Amino acid sequence: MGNSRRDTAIGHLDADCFYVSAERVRDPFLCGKPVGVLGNQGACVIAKSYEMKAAGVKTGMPIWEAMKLCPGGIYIKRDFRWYEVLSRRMLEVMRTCSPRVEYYSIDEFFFQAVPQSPGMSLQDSALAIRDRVAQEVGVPATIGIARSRTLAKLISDSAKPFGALAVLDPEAEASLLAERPVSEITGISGQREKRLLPWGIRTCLDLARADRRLVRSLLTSSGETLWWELNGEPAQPIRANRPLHKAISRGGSFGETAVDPAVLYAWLVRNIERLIEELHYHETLVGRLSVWVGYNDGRSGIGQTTLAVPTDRFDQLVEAARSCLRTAWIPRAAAQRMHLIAENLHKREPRPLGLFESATEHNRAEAVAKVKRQVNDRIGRFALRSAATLPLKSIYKDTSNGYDICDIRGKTCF
Amino acid sequence: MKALCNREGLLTAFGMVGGVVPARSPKPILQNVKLEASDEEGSTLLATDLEVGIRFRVLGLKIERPGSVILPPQRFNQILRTLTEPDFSLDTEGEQILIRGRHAQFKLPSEDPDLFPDVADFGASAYFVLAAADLRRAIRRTVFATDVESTRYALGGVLFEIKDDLLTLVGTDGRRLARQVIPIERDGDVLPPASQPVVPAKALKLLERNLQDDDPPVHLAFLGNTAILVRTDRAVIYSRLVEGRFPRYQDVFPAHAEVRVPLEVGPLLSAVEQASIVTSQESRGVDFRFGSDLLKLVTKAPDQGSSDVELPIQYAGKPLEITFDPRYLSEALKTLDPVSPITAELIDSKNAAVFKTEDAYTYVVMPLTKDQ
Repeated sequence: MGNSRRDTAIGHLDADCFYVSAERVRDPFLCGKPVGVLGNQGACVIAKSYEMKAAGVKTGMPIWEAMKLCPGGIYIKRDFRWYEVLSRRMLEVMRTCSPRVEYYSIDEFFFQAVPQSPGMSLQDSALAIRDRVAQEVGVPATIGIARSRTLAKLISDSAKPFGALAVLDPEAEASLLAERPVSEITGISGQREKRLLPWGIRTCLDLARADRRLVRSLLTSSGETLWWELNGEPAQPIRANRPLHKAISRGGSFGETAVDPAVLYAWLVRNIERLIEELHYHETLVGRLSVWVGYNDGRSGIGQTTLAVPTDRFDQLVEAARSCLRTAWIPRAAAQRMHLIAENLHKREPRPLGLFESATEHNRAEAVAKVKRQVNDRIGRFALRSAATLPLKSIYKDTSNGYDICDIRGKTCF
Repeated sequence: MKALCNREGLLTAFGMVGGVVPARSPKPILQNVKLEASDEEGSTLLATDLEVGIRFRVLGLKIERPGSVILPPQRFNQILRTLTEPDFSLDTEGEQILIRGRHAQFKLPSEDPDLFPDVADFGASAYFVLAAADLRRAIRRTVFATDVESTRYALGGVLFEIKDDLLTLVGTDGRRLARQVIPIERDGDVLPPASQPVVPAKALKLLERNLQDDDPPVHLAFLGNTAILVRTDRAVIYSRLVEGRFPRYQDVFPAHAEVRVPLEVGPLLSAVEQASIVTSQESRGVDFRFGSDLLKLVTKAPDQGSSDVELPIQYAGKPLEITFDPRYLSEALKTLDPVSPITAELIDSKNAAVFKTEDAYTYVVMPLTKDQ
């Protein structure tokens, strides 16, 4: 039997106004200026620099309102592909700083905090990590180190921007928690916050000092987890390997409605190509596929199927999705949205083999998929795509459709 | 209709037919069962979802007034379970059903029995005959390997292939295949069906439940290429056949084997179940390492741990490693006699593995592969 208590702490890295910082990495002209990054259709500010924030611009604000508040601001259309490249670089750096790193989202990581050199304190280590990320990636980030994930996140939030703070002493923790409203804890807002108010729980410290059973009765077991975490008892592990998804989905609105079956089919194939990218990224195979289509008269249709063998192969997924679309299709109705939902996911390796699958056919399909991936990696997304997507010429011509928001891993907003 | 009913007899009948009743149906009357009471033909409980139907002979009914009645299965079952006396009276009065026990009585609304669709009876004069125990065993050993959700509809049932005096049942979901061969006889001038009949899994599970090993022989007839009728000791089961072509299953049996390993079902199943304790959805494979007189089952799951299980075997061939999804093996092994021998025929880590028993059962399973 070994020691039950580990002597390391948990760290949280949060990139400062990440999308703006990423733009500044490739264009230093933007440094120190008010910069806003615009969303999908260029209508909303989805990220802003501290300079623009000071002018009163808020995240989610329409561009016309933002321009009134900050007429001298520089507004840039988002480039998720670039942001992801930098996110990966940050992850690589973090993996050299910690034996265990969790990719929490495109601009946030949790990690096991360890001294960066023998005898170095965790406070100095936080500074060292922050500086290494800034030096090697060019993105400013804030580091918080504490006894639990929840505390580490609260600490990094309080140390922004470009801060580095390790708080492991319970007394220092308490004074920090006393200053933060309870709604700053991830997972407590809206109704949950209201439930705490009658009990006088307003700050993070109030919640930490509240009776555990009361917290559980008010916020269920997830609330009790936060209670333990606030009291310095780690209850949420660092997940270095992301657990297998329950489902992966790709799709969205068409912009213009589609009645022509060929156009609908083109959207289906586009979404399959997007889905396959995601499956490859997570090294996952689909066991069950659903195609949902929403129509502008309020109706919807869904088709579902299980795959004979879990797969990420284009030809097999197209065949399965086509039969689903036939079920989901309402003739002559104007389709507005489509979602492909992949469930019953399996790890790519070890891969289940099919009894009736021809090895030659499989190898050919794999070879074609590999070439497609290599071309697109080198030249650009959708540079090589299925001819079935030709009816969507205008979509592929407009570079703003190069990425949809759900193609960005770890970000669900907008 | 009026009858004095034996509670146990009706409970058994409801248990047998209940699986056929659909939970939802565009024809709500199908969500009920029909009880027919006739002086000449006795009492029969009927249920159907129009794909599968059953006529089950009910014992212990003393008919006072012949007729038929539609019974709501869930509520009627609850009444049967809670009645304390062995017999009760069942009566119809207008559009109501009256159930009278010694201390309790119930009135339930009913529907017109004539609206209940007919469930085909066994009318064939020439048919196939097979032992109930053989058929029961063959169903149990093949139906688990089907996939009722597949868009290849034929995988949602079991193939019945008759050749000479043998019936071959084959079930597959595309990743594993189970085949059982049993003897079959003919009564009268009956020919095997022209096409490949595939019997839906739902009908086979119903049939299996209706069979006991010591039952008299089972009669089996095909209605052209569309349906099958099976007559057991107490029931007639009708089922439409599954549409679609069954895959060429003969092609999946490897032409040769590199190694043959004699094993015993019970110890192998125990080892597989033990090794699969430390697997996860992400890492569900168990490595089977066949070595000299020893089979090692090894698992390693990130964040879950690992397992290393040893099974002494009689094997002196070359070492071989192959990875299986343990569920695929345990599901098959559970249908076999634990003390019976089983032979594993293997080629390498990428080709299908074949497990054979001495009573004409063959199970083919694809391994999991890491080298893509």
